[in-house]
Amino acid sequence: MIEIRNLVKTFGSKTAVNVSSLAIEDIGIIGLVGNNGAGKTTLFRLILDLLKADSGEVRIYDEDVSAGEEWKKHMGAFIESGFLIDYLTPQEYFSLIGKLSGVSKEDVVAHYERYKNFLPEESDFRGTYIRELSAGNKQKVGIISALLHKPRFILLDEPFNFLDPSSQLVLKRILQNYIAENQASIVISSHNLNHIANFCQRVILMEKGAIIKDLQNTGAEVEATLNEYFVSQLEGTDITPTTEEMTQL
Amino acid sequence: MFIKTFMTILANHRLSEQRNPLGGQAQISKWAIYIGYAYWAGIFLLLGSSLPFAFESSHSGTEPYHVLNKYILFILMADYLMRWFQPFSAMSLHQYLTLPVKRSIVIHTFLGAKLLTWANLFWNFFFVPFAFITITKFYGFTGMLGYLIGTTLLICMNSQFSLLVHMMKELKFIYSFLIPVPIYAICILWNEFAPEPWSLGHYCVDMGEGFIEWNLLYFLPVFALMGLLYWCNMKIAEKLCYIQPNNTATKKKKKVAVYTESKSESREFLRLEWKQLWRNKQPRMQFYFWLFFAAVFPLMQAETEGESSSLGKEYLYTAYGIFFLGLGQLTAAISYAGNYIDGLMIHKSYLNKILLAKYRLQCLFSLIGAIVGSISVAIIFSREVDFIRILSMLFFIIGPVFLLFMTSAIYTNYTQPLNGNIFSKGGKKQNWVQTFLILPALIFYPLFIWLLQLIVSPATSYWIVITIGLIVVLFHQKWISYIYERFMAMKYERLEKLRETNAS
Repeated sequence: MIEIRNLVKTFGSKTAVNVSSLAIEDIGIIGLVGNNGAGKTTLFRLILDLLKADSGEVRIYDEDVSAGEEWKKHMGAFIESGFLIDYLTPQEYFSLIGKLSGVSKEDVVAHYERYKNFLPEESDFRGTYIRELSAGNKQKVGIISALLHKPRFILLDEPFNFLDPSSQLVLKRILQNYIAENQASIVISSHNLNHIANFCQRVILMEKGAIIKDLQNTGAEVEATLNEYFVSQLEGTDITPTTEEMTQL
Repeated sequence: MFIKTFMTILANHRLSEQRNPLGGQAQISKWAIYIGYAYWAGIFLLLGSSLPFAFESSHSGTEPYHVLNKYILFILMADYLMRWFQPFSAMSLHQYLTLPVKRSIVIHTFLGAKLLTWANLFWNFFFVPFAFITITKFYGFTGMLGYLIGTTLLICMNSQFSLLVHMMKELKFIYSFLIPVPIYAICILWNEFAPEPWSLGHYCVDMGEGFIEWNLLYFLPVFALMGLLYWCNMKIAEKLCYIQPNNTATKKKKKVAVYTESKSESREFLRLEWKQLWRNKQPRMQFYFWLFFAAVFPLMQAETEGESSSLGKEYLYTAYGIFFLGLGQLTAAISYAGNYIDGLMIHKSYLNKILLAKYRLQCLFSLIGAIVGSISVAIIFSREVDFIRILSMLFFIIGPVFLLFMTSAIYTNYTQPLNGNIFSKGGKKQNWVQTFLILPALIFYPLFIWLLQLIVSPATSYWIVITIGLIVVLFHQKWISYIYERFMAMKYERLEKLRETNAS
């Protein structure tokens, strides 16, 4: 389980994250949604111990993430392309991650074969450095490498960015299958309410660093609730939607 | 419009320097650069004021300024060499291409900024005292001024030539560095071997006289040549507009990577470090740069001190060769990892393994350096190679000295771009801790040996040094782990800085 208690992070006078309590242990996909600057990426970075919290703690399997490194065995993540060692080819990168995570050569090859259709084409996978790939292909390499050592928890920051519509559908299927086979929890952040509402079993809404809503996605109400919330943020501005636009939404 | 755009872009250049993410570190580097400039200005002033008298005694019957003018080509060559090591970036061209500014104005501003820079006046630290001593007594201040304007124009012309070569390099013209070779070679041959009065030297003497007398017929060819070079640079800049800056795409597909399983984790990281060194421009160029010194140093002619010299300069050069090979890579140990530091940190102890791999690879290079040094001592200096001496240098450097270099990793707070130019802005960076660790490291070995030899015989001193070095090398896992732990103790602060300074 990932447990967050009284986690606060500020940058100057701005509070980026202020989460009093959050637990993630449910098997499934958890969506993290919020406007730009809501604190989603900062929250991910705090969970991964890439940022020092001003106060509070994050515990994974009861281990404080800032105090040890054993929790890393249970965690996979891809936040941005800067995570990737870009002077390696994707194949070399998989091989490196596999080697260092204790995954056998056969399993790494099987992993690639399984997701071959989603990953960059063969010649790029074996013959091109990661830095030469397009943003979308880098994204794919990063996401699939996060699954390689079959971690219990996976954090993906806006995984659908840069992906074409077909790849987005394939990625959804991949994540769902992964959860079914490995009983994992995958937390994804996205700006696309459609992705979140139709895909996630649980939806966490963040605003100004705090969790505003934590909803179980049992039906169409979640999407409506989210839409209503985001529209309410526009009230009083010049871009408040008209009644017609509201109906369409 | 042109002047307004020009001034706006220039102001932006200054703003980017002020807003350097290194902040205070950049300030310290800036002062170090100012001190460097002051040092060279002092050297130039000294040369400018002493050369007239030197020429008078060596070339009696000829005015010193005629002597200088005859060989002014060599000053231009020295100027070119200095510019070769100056940072160059075409980014300031690309940054404005998508803005509503005419491309021609952007290009002229880019070229104009290179022409109208204070750096082109730097040689006046030499020419002003020289001209004051030699020209004013015959031609007064007017003559001196004319001469200074003429020499400054020559330097500006040279700056355009240097810019042309840099831009050809940006266009990925791989033989760009050879462009000056035939040109300067022809000039030298023309200067030295052409019969008078057709030699270049003769023309340069007349040209100098022409500058002094404000004879436009001698200014015009300089303007013409400068104009020609400017026009060439303009054409190249137009092509550069279409080249992506820092384009790391390779032209050919690489061979299919063969999946080979390494037997151990440490070997895997060694392979990773090897790939980092050869697949990225900056570490590769740095390696070549220091390899050049490592190869050249032992080949330098040493003043013979005789066998009684305990230091033996030829061995010292070998030591420096080994030293420099490590310097280039180990001081940037964590800086390069800063490009993908977050991806590393989510895996357990990766950074520790990378530090170990880096150290081991550098020890291997140092061994090569020691072998090269031994060969050069045997061949160049025709001396029997004292292997114990070479071993003592090797172990001392890969032991305590490399330990010192890697300790500076604890204080790393900047990311070194993997594909930048080591001489460009944003290229090689160094924090103050590294600077202060590296400078004394240069004299550690000779100083330590000298101190030991006050007490023991030379042979014993070498064995003591070998023992100390060997102990440090054998325990390298322990002290590298300690460095890793110290870095991790300050990891949040370091990670933030590494991200901030990550330009990619």
